[in-house]
Amino acid sequence: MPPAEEYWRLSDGAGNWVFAAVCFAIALVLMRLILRERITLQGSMSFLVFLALLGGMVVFPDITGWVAHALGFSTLANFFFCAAIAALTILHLRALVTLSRVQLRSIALTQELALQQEKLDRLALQLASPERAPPRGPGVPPEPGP
Amino acid sequence: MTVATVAVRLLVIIPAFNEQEALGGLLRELHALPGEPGVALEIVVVDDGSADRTAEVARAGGARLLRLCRNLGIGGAVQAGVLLAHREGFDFAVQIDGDGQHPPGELHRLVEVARGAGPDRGPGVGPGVGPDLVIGTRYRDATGFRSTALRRLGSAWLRLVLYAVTRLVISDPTSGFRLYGPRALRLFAETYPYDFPEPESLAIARASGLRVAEVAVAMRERQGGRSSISGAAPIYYMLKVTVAVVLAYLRTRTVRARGPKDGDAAG
Repeated sequence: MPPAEEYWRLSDGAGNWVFAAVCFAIALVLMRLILRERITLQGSMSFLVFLALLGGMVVFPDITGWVAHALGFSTLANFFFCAAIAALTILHLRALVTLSRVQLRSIALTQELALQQEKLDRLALQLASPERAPPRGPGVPPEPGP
Repeated sequence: MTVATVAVRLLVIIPAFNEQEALGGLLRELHALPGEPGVALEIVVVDDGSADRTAEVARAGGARLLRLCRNLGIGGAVQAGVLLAHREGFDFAVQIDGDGQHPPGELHRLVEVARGAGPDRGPGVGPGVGPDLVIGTRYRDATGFRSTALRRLGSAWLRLVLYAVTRLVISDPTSGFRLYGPRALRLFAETYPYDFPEPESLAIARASGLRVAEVAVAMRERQGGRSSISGAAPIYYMLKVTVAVVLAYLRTRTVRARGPKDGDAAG
């Protein structure tokens, strides 16, 4: 049975660098999407930081192993999966909050647009033929009594 | 019982999504209504991003038209009409489905109750004291069209949930035939649920201290178009609405307890 330290120490082989290269490739895809204005830099920063941390973990396995051991993980793989799941959960929740906020604003804007458009239509109708215009326009309160 | 003779402005809100078949007839029925004394009636059709000729039919039918540039769902469409009523100072607004299920001839029943002249159907409501929200119920009278057994079962479940959470006794919690008074207009202009909104809006109204009443109305089958709740949607509907009623009630109570705050008004 090898000592616990052996479990959380990654091999120094090329596998680490392959994973780092995958992180780098994903970061490149993100950068490309940002440059093409498909996603915003502001919204992607947390994802880029997460990728940099993942890349750092595999480039410096000794430091990562020390952190994992200090947190009570016996194998580095477990630590890696836990950290990745936690980070992705946080990123997903953050995206969900942003999406919900945008959805609510979009609904409010759609309603506002319809209300303003209706007001505009009525004004246009009133200008075109005042006698055909409805007695009350939008936003105009009923005429006060004598 | 004397009906108040003060003139009131009433806006009829018709949310419509691909309702070109039923809408024309509904508008003709509304225009043919005998004028109620002291009530000035206006009609607005909220075209919820329809792909058919709903907007043209609404214009041809002489209604005001709010045209949403994308489909928001029934809640978003109703809230657009409520916003219009609230901003333009209407006293009451009545929601009528664009599929023709709600006969315009029954509208006067809701107005009578709202003006404090109808039968006492809710706590704090009685002669001279109108409720803030009047629900037209199809389950208090045996007359008129009644929905399928599955829908009635769903409605019974929602009645139970609403009572358990809010202590509100409503026989038809999914009814979209409803009248909003000034307080309800103010509340729902700020916050209104967007997805399957009827039961959830009752929980919000209850938590906000609004007086809710109901009155028996006759309903009929939809006069055209297709229901949005079909296939597996009823299962999702029941789950979503059950959770939504609980959360909406708790959230509204919490917001009321700590006072209004920016960002709390989201539906």
